[in-house]
Amino acid sequence: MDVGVTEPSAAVEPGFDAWVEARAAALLRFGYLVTGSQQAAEDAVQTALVSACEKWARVSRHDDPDAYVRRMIVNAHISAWRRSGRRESPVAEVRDTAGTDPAQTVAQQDAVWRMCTRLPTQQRAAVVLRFYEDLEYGEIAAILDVTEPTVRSHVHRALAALRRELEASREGES
Amino acid sequence: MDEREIEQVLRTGLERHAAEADVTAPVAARVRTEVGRRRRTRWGSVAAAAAVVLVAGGVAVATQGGPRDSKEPPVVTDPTADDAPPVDGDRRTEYWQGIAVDIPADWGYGGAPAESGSEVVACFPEAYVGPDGSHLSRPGERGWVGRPITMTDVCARYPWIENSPQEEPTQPYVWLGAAVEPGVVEYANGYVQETVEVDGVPVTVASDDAGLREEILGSARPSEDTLCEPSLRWFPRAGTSVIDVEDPSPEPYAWVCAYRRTDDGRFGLSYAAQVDPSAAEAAIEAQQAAPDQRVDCDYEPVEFVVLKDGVSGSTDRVTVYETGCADGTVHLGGGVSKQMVAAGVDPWARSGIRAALSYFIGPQG
Repeated sequence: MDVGVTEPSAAVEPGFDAWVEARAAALLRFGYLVTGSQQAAEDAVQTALVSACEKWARVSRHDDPDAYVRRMIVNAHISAWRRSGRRESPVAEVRDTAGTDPAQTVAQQDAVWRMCTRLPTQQRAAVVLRFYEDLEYGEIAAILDVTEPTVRSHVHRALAALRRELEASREGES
Repeated sequence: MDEREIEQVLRTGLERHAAEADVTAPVAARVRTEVGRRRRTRWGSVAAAAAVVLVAGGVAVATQGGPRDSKEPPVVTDPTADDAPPVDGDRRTEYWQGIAVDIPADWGYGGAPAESGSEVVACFPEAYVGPDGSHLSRPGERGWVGRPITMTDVCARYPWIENSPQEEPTQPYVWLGAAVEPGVVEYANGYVQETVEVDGVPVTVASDDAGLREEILGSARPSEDTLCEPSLRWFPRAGTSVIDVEDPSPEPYAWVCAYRRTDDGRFGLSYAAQVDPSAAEAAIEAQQAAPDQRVDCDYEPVEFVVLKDGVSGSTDRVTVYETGCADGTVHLGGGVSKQMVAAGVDPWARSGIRAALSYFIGPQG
């Protein structure tokens, strides 16, 4: 007796390709800020997009597929972090960009990156969503699946940490 | 620098670093490849499963009703709200080694600081299992009782790292036996964490409600109301004892007691709860019908469960679930050992035991 199993088409869902082509760069930049590394960003974005493709019919009906996928990127990174068993955030990796910007600007931007890489994943995602994606607290809370006060607390603490970084940086210069 | 200037520095810094990302990575192509591979794998599995059904169909009658002879560990079903543990009013009692503490009945279960090598870490220090034993889809949104058991690899160093979310508790908690020195920690948001020792066991309570802290700490006491031994020197022997004590009102009873190896080589009580005697009976009947265990495990057990049931003044039966031996081995007494099966675990695998036994990590968790 034959077993009637049909191989499905390997093509991805209609509309998905075009959406990805249009959004991949922005999602990679977002992933880079959230994860802190190129490799982790590509992994998280790929994981999220594979998942989004598999349920594209539902995702594309979503009011804001971008927000939905950004949330999947954050979750993919958190899951990868958990699987790796790491207990600490990676050490801040500050690229040597001296000479390309005025010294003070470089110092400030390095302070931003140092601060970001020290933040726990969810808190860093909140900061990126707030100050890079310019989302409201309520939107961020929905993406991260936490309460709005939690997001406000994440952001408030991050700003306080950045202020300390900047002050320390200035003291180091003087 | 005022707040607005700091925010502007942050925006500029993020934009600059976002521009460093390599956006030429062929993500779209990789996604197409991965989706295609997954679909082929999935449909390949469907084809294989269909073939198995065709073969197995001829022998289904012969295996129906008999014990499942599988190499897979038994898959225990998730409890539902109907399985909520019995509580006294709005409080329930939690046990750890030789002490008992009463906590609000709606609190969940999570982790607490434990020694890990030279440091102290708390793994999942928030409620991730509900009071009924179900895994919470939104962890961290209720108070919890934490035990120093590594059930996940999501851990935070204790004392908390500066600026970590744990520095601002949002839910009250009790830690039993945590690696925390007696004393008081005051958090910026008004939460106060207080640790005392009760019979040599640290008990920690944190809340922004002084009355609640006082009530919970005041309830901490040596545990005398459980049939679970607080500590065992040896791996227990299964079997049934006949007790000849006159009891004017004999009643059936059942307790589930979980144990973990402690630093001194003994086994300390990590969880204890009363269970419905008929549920315990059903579990043991299922185990009696399970396949014999033919694997002889040569190792040092880290954890196990003792199911004690019987009738007061008449019988006392001890059944031992050795969760770490060959996907689970159940010792029924009289030298009989069976393979652990889901129906033998389900009836007692409720409530906080799912946050106290490593067995429930992964497929069981």
